[in-house]
Amino acid sequence: MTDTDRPDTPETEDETLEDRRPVDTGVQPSGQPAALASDHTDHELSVQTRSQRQLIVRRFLQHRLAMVSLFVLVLLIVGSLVGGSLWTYDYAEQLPTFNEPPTWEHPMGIDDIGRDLMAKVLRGAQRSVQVALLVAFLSTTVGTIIGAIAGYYRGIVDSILMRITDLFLVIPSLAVFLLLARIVGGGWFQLALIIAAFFWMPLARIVRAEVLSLREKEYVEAARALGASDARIIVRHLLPNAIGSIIVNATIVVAVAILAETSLSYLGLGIAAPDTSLGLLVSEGQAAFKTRPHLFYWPGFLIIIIALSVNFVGDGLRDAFDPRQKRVRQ
Amino acid sequence: MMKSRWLRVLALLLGLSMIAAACGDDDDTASEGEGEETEETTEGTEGEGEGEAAAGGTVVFANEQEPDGWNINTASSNLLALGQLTEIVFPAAFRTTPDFEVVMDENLLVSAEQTSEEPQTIEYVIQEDAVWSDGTPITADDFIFMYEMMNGSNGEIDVASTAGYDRVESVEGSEDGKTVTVTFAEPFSEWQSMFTNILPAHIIPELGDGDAVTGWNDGLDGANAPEFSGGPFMFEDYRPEQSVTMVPNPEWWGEAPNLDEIVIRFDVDNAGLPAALENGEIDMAYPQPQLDLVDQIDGLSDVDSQVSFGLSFEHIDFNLQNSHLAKPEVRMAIAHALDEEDVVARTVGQFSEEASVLQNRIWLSNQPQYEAHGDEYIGANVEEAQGLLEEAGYDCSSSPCTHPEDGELTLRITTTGGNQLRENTQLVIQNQLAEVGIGITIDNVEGGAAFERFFPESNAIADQDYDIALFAWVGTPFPSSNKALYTNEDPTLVGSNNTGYQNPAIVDIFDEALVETDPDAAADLYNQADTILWEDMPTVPLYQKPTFLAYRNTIQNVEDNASTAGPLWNAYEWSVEG
Amino acid sequence: MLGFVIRRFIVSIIVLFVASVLIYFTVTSFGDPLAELRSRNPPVPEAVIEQRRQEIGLDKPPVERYLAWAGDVVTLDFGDDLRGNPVNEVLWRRLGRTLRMVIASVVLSLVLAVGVGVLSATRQYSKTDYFFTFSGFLFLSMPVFWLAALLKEFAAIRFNELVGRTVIYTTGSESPRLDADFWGRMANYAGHLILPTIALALISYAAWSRYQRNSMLDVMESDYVKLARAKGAGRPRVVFRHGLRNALIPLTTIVAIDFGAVFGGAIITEQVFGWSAMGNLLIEGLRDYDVNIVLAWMMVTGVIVIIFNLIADLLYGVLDPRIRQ
Repeated sequence: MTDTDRPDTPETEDETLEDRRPVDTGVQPSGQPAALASDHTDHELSVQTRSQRQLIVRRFLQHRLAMVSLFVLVLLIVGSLVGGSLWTYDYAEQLPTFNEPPTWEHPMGIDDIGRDLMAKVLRGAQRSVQVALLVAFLSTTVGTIIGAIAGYYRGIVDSILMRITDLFLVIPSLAVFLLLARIVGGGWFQLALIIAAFFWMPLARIVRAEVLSLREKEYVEAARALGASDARIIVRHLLPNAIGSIIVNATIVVAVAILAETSLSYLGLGIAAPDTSLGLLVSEGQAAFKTRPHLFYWPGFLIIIIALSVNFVGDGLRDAFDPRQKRVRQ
Repeated sequence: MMKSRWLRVLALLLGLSMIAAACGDDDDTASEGEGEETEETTEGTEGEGEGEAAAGGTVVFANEQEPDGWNINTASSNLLALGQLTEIVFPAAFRTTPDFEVVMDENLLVSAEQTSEEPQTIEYVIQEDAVWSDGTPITADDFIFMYEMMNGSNGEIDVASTAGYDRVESVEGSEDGKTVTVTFAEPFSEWQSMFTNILPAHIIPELGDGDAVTGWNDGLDGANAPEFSGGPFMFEDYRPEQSVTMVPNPEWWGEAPNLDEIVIRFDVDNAGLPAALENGEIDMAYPQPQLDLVDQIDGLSDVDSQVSFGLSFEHIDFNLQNSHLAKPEVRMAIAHALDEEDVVARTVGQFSEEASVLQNRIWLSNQPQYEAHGDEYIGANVEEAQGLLEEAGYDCSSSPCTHPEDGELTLRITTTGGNQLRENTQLVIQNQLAEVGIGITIDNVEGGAAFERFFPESNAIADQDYDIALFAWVGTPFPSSNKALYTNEDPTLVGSNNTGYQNPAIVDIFDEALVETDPDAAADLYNQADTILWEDMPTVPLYQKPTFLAYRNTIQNVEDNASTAGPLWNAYEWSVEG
Repeated sequence: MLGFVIRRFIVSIIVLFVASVLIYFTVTSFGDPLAELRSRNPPVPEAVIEQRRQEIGLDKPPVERYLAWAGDVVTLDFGDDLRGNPVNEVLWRRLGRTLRMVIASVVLSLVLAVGVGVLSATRQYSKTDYFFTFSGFLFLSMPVFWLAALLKEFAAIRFNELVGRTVIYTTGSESPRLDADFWGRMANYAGHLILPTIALALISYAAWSRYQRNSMLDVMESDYVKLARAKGAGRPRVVFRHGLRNALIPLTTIVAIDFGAVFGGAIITEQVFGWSAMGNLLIEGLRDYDVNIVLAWMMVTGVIVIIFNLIADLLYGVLDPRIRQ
């Protein structure tokens, strides 16, 4: 089992640390669905379950930094998604004047061909956030499904799926990003698909590892004995116990995806002009580092604040899901 | 005990790092072996850091594009970036000055005159003291060798262009080889374009172990930078991916260069230029200008800069296979709808007030032969454009206009994605054409891959995939090669004629101009050809691309040569203050 | 254990070859390496283009070309690039540079990670802990080229102005025509290494330091450490003799695994600092559709990832006493 349940990126190592560790300090099943409790007569389990979930929520709420970050993050995401449509100018509109410094009317100035730069930044934020959210959604879905199937069915299915996972891990993702980005063009949706195609593997391994250890538990045996279908067992009994890892991973992916988009844009392979993204803006703004520093700093700050708050929320969630916290906070 | 083990791991890692560093060394010394030892030692005293550059008579020039071979006369290596280096290494009969005049190189030649018209005969007299860097005189043999390599009769020889050489009857030497007589079988108006980047006839075959063709094709490829010179400078110490150094040619018979060396660096990209300049890591750069880059470099107190307009010009091309663009009225309407002056103002106009609309496809505005032919299309003329569209059967009551058979007038415009100047140009064009009711969608391909859409692998017109193309052609003082851009013998093939345009009248004029030995008459013919191109409108020229030369203000006598010669053309006149 | 490692290695190599097939056919079917030649003015004669096509071998079917390539690779020959130069030469030269940067930054982030990890673990929930946690996450959230621009301005240009000479360089892996003795050379390398190493280490140390912090906490809570403290061992002694040394074990494994990731992730850093190294090679290879270059990059990077994964497996087995039992 040790061969595949290991982290592949630094972002996921805390979860996998659990996997690698012998059972005594390992993850306990957490957040079991309440419905399950009625299937069993084990009264203790249901009490523990409920308190477990409450404990997680309470731990997260107590995590001040994470709560503040969550607030900032929600604000930024909502702002990014609707900000562009509230602003006076459209990002594509060419004004009669061009190449103007900031004024009250145009707080970031006007670019070389006459577009309002504030509108461009808002548009960029929207695109970056859209890409990041879609990547998180897609990679989490794919990773969870593949991990769960591999872990549940084991044997040949597991081998095939894990070799495919290995394949994706061995192919250097950036090379494929670069290649595919050229081929499919610079739309935000295509870009998200490409990035997501290389972000699901760590989660697949984590979920597989958890499912592997959970599928032997008595309550799963019991559900199986009661005639529950495989799909039902996976969805109702196994995945809810892996939910901690899944959520934490999904949060982190948002941050990594924002940065991945930025890198691709820096190499000229992200979202293509005339559309824009924070990554594209900040790489264009790099040339203006000294002459129009606001073009360099503001998109950069937005990227950092989004990624940072996502990371803090992820950290808070990780702490909340981590049973060791009981010990620590005594 | 445990702690020391971890220390050992750390030490091991550091050691690895050193080994990795040392690996780099080996490779560098290997390529260094190419250089001549004697020069090495004299240069060793100059100090190796770029920090001391100014004091030691060294100029570090950042040149992002690295040559991929050194024989500029082969198609494989014929890059502008290389030509700008060989300008001061290989002899040439004629050179182009910064004001785009073609003049005889007095260092190489005493005279070059047409001595007879029937058959056209040119007599070159080579300077008595002109020698290669190994002391061998430069003679008719070298001219004969050029002719043999470049006349196109041997398909195995890689040649960038056979223009002129393919019309030569004979090349003969006399007077100890110091007089060369070139006799043409068919007249060639652009004979001054020939015999540039002359290579030594006694060395090239040696590079191919006695075989001239191998020596020519492969002798100067990859890491094999030429070790010979017939100009003021010579290459030395080429370190692939990093730099090549140019040092004075000890055998140079002309005015001796002041500098000790020019180091050409290949490892500084555009984005890193301002910091590298400010930090003293480079002294000079010749990047594609972008607004912020120019502003930022202009902000550096010890750096001067020059903006010029070169031979490269942007244009839009219409795919005549497109049912809309096949109609001349639609192409005319687009030309009328464009506000060329606004395009210039929002793009290259921001670098220099001298930027102007280009109104000729063959001669560029700084060439003496230039005539502006597009006056009637200047400025946005919406009424005229819509009138033409209605004539062609379009209904422009709603936008985009619609044609009863060909549907909505929506066209794709394609360029090399990532090129900010072109992307901005596209957007301005899109905006302007929308006023008339011509829908434009932007359909770019990242980088050079866009050219596959215009010049498909199969070379078949049918495989092209674009409606409107936006890219640049490099102009030339010798425009006969432009013929290939506007015609193709086989109309089903692309060649260089990506619009698929055919007009026998154009072919006749180009053919006539090619054999017209009177330069003024030839220039007129080319202007006539351009007039026809304005009537048929397969392409619309937009503007010349600016060149941007930034250099430390301690370097004297720098003058950009925006023709293909580039900024190094007069490097022998440079000196460094201090 | 050894059998398992060998089996895993072989499987990985097979997977790598499958990947090479995918990449090979993607690159060759989507890119035309001759398009640039056709777009030149003056036009390149058709005969020359045809000759080039044959030189590159484009006249042969892709399957045949792939098999020829694969045959050569087995003997560690990566073939020629589009210009006919051997890929190997370029590859080793650039690999050396990338390794120089990656190893230096791994060492630096390791030092940072252990230091910060221990500090925040021993002062959990203190201001120090929060400060380091915050700055770690801050760097983790920065686009590397954004950080690089700041470093160039504030760590290089301003610093050099301050000391009056160019000590820290902003571009390239070494000065051009570097012609110094061993130590001069090393100093010059170091001057060029500083910025990229800092940039790469800063954005990556956070993950490791978090990891180190958590495993430190685990160890510090373990019974034997509690016992040691109960027996009267001093705090520093407990932290270093017992805590750190056991907590380093899992970190070592992670570092080995991540080495491959850092290697592949150095592309942007190399690009920003003008290093003609592996990343640049890949970008150029993709730009020119030079399939041999792309594949050489992928094989080398892939092998490095695989090797370090193996090292991680082995280290895990060797270092962790619980596994040895």
